[in-house]
Amino acid sequence: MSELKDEHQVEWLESYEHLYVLQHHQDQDPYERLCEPAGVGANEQQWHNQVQLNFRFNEDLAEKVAEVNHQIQLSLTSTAEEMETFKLGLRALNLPGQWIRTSVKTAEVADTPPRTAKFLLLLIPKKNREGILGDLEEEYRTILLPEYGLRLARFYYWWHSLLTGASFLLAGLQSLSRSFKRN
Amino acid sequence: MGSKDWLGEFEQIVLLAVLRLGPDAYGFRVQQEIKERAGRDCSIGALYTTLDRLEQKGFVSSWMGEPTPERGGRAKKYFKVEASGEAALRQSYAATTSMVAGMESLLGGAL
Repeated sequence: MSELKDEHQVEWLESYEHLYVLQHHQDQDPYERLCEPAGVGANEQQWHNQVQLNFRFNEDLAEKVAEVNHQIQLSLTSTAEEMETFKLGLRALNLPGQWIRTSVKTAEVADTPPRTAKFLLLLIPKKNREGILGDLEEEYRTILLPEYGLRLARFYYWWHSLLTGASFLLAGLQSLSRSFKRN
Repeated sequence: MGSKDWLGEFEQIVLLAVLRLGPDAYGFRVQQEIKERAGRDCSIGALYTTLDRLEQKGFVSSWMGEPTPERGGRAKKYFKVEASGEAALRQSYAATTSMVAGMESLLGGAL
């Protein structure tokens, strides 16, 4: 890790404070000395200084933090790509620009199903809506996301939402057709 | 039992899945049970429309359960097979076994 000005480094380390505390709970060694619980409680500034000092001489930790930083960057890139695909899909449907912007905004949270697909499910009867939305969300979180990854999981959620909407539309039409036949 | 009360093939599968799952029979679990046992992929919409139809016939009853975090805080809709549903299943099973009698070698012991 290259040498940084003290002020800059302290500020940067503070932003990763939660990471050190987490590290302390999960892995006692070799980072234990960076996260003395007494240091945190007794004198926060002193603790930060100690962390800063130890950090300079700890290449392992520097590598670990760089790796975490890299993973965060990758995850953010992946989400950005996902949103770009989503935007392209919406444009292909020729929807109004304002609606696209609102939809993209709502799709920002990666571990929840696409909200715009949920709006589609508002078409299904109220008595089944809660159960169906929950079932689709459970499927998304427990099967689709772990097995297929974010992009395919979102695609499948959309597909299953469309199938669900189509099933209820078909059932409604059949019921209408039967009532016409009776009359 | 009237002619309208005969069960379709998918209705039989759904009723059997609900019966097998007992107190844990809600939409997603029923869908998974059908997929695992019958090897049949069905959409959640097709499942609910079938369960709605069975409920209208009085073969199943439903109630809302408690919300859970993995469902985004949404409640489960549970289903239970009623006595008339069990009777309809027995009737379907009897009809099928009667039709199959003497044809076991052709069907390879499928029943």
